[in-house]
Amino acid sequence: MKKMNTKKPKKTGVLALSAFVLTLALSACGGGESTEDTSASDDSLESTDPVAAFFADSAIPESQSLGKVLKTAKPGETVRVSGQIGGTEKPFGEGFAIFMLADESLTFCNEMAEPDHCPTPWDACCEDPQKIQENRTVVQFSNAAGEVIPVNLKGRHGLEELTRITVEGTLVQREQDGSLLIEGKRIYAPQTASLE
Amino acid sequence: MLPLSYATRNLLRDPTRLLQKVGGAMLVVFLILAAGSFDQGMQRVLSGSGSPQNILLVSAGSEDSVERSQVPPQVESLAAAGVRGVQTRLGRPAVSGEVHTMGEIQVSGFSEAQALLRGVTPAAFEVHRSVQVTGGQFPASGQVLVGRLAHHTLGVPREALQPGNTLVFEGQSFTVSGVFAAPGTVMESEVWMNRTDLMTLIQRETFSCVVLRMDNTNGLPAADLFAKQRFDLELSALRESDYYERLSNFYAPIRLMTWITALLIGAGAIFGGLNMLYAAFASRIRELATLQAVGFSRPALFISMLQESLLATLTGTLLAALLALFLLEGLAVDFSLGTFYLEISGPVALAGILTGLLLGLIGAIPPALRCLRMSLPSALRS
Repeated sequence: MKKMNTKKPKKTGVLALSAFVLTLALSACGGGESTEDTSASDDSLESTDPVAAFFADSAIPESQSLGKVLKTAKPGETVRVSGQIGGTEKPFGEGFAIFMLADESLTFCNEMAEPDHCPTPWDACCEDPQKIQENRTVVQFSNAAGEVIPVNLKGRHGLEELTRITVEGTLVQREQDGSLLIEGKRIYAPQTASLE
Repeated sequence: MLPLSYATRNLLRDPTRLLQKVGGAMLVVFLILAAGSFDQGMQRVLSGSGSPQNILLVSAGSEDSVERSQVPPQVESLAAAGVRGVQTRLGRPAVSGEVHTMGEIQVSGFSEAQALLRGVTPAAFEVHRSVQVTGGQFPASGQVLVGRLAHHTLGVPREALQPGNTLVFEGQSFTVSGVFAAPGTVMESEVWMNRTDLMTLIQRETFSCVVLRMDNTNGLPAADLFAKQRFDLELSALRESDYYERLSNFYAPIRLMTWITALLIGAGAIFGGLNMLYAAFASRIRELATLQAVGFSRPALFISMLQESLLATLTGTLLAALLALFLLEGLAVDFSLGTFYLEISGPVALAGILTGLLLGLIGAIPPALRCLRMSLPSALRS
């Protein structure tokens, strides 16, 4: 009985596999160019970042704790406050340049012996609710038309929950309810500035 | 190759064994179909209950349970004025302040049962567009509007909740003013009533949530901005569809348990089937050796044994599918949030068929290999 020639199909299979692997390798090499393109487009993104102008390169002088400012400053005054992003489960606005700033006197879960006690480490759920209300406010950044800028600040310029920052802005009292918030002009984050 | 008639003839040699194999496969596949339809049904009703165009304003920390939320009543008007992008119809914003509570309801002649009550105003129809009144009218004070499946939740016949009938809640009697449909949502199992009535009865001064219908599905940032700026109100904004997705995740362990149960029983059936086929094939070693001696190859015999097993399990699969169509399709299942229907959908049916195939293959391959591995002289002498 004639034996079937199995060598030819095997050779073809090896050739096809090699061609496939070579194609993959070539396409991976092509990824280097696209990385350069991405970094180029990142640079252009940075230059059109609508909130970039608000981020200061150096520390904002004469800043005071947020809690003290909320108790003593008057609406309309320019204030310089220091604090930590937090004081609620979701401190960052979903799609607008606004975040909750809390006084550093509030105890966050990561500073406690039981870090997993609260839903999130930055919501300060173990603190007295009255103390939380008196020691936090929102900071928002608006455009020339007075509209809050529609960008999410989380992750931008290194801002994350529990980031310690200093903010300069105007203390504003909302007509509707009398609550105080800060219309931000400058923001400085020491640990993120050093990374940049 | 051996003819298919050889496999069928072997199957019919031992009717008892055939019945066991077909019956076992039928039960396992039926379980898989039941687990699949349960899982799909629950997931479908929860994912269909919320609209991505609706935003819920709830109290911070109550994103997992609207019933625990306490929202000041003024939020309804504040949100209508302060949130950009709220849909309007005839100049009125689509904003609905609602009270959600679980309560014991009694229909006369029947025992008490728990149901979800929702205190609403006519604005509810502006935000919950899938809700349609199919009979009767919107409830005035002292009246209730019942969902089409509320009778399932309350364990009463459909006729007991027709317009004109009465039910009792918190010692007060309410007349059914109408029935509404909201296909594919948990709202169909609810009882709706005048919001003021409900708040008075349960002594509540706050809403559970304020529902906003936005112009499009990208309305969350604007609602969240409102919640952030009014941080004194301690509000949280989330899409209605995301809320029900969270609830769906809450029930994920239950859905997983149904699958695990079905798979464990299936594994037991596979091992039982393996045992049975080991015995069945072992008694035919000499016969198989004889077939090899007359010229049939081992692969051909192997395939014939697989055919035998698959014929039995696929027959069981077919019977299971028919049983499922009669017993499971359209069956209403109650759970804490409402009622859903079991449905043998395409993916569920496919899962059943694959199970039958796997049972046939996995159950036959090891014993078949064992029988055919023996050398021909030993097998002929066995």
